[in-house]
Amino acid sequence: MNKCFHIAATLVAFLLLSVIPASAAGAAESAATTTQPGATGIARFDDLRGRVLAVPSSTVQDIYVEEHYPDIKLDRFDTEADMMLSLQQEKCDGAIMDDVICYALVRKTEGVTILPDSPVPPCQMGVVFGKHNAELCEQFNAFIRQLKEKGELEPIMERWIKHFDTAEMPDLPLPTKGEPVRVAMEPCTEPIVFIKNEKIAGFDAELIQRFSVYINRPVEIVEMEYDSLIASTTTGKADMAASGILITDERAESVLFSDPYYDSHSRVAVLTKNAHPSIITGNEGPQILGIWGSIKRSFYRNIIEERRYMLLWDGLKVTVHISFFSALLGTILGAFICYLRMSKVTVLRNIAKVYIDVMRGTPVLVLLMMMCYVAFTQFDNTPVAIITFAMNFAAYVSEMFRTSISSIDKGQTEAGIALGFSPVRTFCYIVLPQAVRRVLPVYKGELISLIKNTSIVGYVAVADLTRASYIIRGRTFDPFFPLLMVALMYFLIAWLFTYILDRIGRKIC
Amino acid sequence: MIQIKHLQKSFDNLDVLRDVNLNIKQGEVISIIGPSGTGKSTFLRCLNLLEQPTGGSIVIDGEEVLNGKVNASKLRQKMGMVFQSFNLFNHLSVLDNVCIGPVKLLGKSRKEAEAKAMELLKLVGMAEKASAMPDELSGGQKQRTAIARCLSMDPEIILFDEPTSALDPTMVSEVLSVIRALARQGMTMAIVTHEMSFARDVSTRVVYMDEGIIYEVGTPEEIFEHPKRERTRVFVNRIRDFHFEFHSPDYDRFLLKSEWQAYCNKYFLTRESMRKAQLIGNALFRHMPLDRGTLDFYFRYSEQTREMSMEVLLPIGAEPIDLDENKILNELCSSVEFNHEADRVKYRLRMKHKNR
Repeated sequence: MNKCFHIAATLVAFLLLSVIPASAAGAAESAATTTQPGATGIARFDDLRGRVLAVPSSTVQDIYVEEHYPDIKLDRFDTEADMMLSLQQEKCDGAIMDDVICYALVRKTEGVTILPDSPVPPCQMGVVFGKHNAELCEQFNAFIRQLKEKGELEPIMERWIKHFDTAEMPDLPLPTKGEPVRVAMEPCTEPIVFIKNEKIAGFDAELIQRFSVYINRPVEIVEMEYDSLIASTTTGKADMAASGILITDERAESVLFSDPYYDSHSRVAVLTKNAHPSIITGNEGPQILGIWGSIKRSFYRNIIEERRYMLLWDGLKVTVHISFFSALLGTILGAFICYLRMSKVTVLRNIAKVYIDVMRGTPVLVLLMMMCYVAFTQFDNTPVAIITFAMNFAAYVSEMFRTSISSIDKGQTEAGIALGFSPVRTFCYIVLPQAVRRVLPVYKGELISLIKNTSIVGYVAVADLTRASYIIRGRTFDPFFPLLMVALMYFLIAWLFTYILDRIGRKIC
Repeated sequence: MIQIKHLQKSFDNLDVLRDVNLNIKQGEVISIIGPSGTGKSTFLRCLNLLEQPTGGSIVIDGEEVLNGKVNASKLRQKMGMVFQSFNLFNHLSVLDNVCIGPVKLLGKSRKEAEAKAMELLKLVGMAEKASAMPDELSGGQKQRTAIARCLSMDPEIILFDEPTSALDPTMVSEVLSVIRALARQGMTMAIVTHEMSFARDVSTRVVYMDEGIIYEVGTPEEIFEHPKRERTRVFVNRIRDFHFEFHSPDYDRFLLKSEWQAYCNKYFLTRESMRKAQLIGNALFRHMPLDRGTLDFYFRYSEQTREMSMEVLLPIGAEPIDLDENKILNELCSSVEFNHEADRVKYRLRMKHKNR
């Protein structure tokens, strides 16, 4: 009964926390802004001088603006969705990004207008191949040439960029036989690659599908973070990568680029109320919905629409899977390390000591990247992630095991041995049950932090719960609901795990 | 049943047991007494191989156990041990503490073991507390449970390692009476203890250990009433020495007086005894040849018998003095005698003693 009350209280607290900033943001839209625009408002890019501009981190826009407009302060972001949020919250005055993305975002975001000009020179989009994959690259180039000659490329682009709301993936007879081509993609960017109705969509996605038909080989999509896309083609995790990747000289040094298939221009979005009236194109003001209305709308858009709950459900399964096996494997490994650490043999003891120090001294994210991209490139990332978390978990729990075992009075062992138990049986029957009872509370804490730590697997392209929220956020630009759902789910997983642990603990002791 | 020959045990370079020889027969109750740090506990722990002896031999029922071939665990099942610090298994109830051995080691069924355990718990008076956890028990109750746990294995001998040393005085007797009851039933036992009166009336033999060897063995009467050797006598009678050295006739009387006084206060001597002792002392020192070199004076008091005596070692080469005519000595001492020890003359004076 008490527990139910607890959960309910936590839920209410979460909801309140999520609603208050939401409504506060709504109220703030009509209130005074942090940076007052001039009487005329922002009409051109030059008007942004002396203001804050959001840029996608280490892109052409980032580099160009930093070099040519030193008086513009830059805020760097990983995703365009986050930039747009920052703009809406008036933490910045403008957000510069690729035009395709900009059009899509602005259409979904209320109160935002696009500036007519951008100083950043256009950039070309291409598909990335590993240097050893020149043959595949050639095939892709031939495919693009053919599309252009037939005049098919333009309509595809038109459809996705101008009418992305209604655009659907074509129904192509996809090949199923033959060796699959692995394509790395980050499905968080509308309309280039994104998840629609639980399926991958967008013009890059369509290009890849058409390419698949062209070379008559099936395609296997490998989802990962944008940062990992290019690296994945060199480590062999994928044969090619496509997600609106811009061709730069720097990148071309380490990978092969296909012929460009789209010229990307930069566009800057600003808040309509800060913009000069001359550039406003009749975008109506924000809808007033009230607190319950906005919660209902958020819930529908983030959870129900396009069956997005399935994304969360799949992510949940992955998170539980990784957490469970990491904990299991980590506990076994931890017991083994503990055994080494308490060994009478100095060498074994030192090995365990070094292992523990190294594992505890390295960020688990760095370790995870090293394991996936350096040590075990040829394996699937999920098992590698499980092993990595297990290794890290083992280092912590082995020390817990050791301290709790050595905290058991020596007299207990002596009494067991004097009664006629062998040393091993004395440990099993006498020391272990008492040590387990002592270690359980701290072990629970470590387990919870392991579960939460698994949220970084997104970095190595494992679609877990956190990643699911990223994908949803990438579509809906709602900062609160997906995060709230995910926070709640992590809480429930942690609660479930500790509950099971408690039950097991009560049985043992 | 157990023959121990030339048993040795050393830790690093500290010899704890130097040469221990003892035979333990079926049904014997052996008390092991002696000053602290003389290896009594180590000796006991060597018997069930909790400590590995460094030399000598232990033969149990005709079988040598120190050749490394013997199964130590099997051996220990027949040799119960009761510890000073009880060492009950903290995660198990009283009943489970008594059941775990028979169930896990002797292969008895849970039901059988429980029935036997309840019987044993009744024997030690702990049946009522069968479901209690060890940390809910008093020290005496813990120790009685520990004894029941020992008995659950049907041991042929039980080793008691200072079973009452960690107990409040009020709880000592409840544990001792359990041990007494076992002794009456003919259980073979070896008990390291500081409870002299208990050792005296429960044991068939008393072993006095000192300097890493068995210094003297005998019946309780022999050891406690007529100890043959000096160290045994000093120990069983709890004799305390006060020593003062005289170097010249102009010795520091105030220093002597204050030290002697402090000694008497420490052992709670009556003012009357103190006064008498000083009278004797003064009479004695007047006659002593203090100008001939170093003279040693000992005042001895037995905490056990409350007897007081004095010893005077004359300087080297000094002749004996006639003390027979001294009034004070004759009145306050029950005996005054002297003998030659090496090249010195030794006087021994026994003070008159009121029997309690």
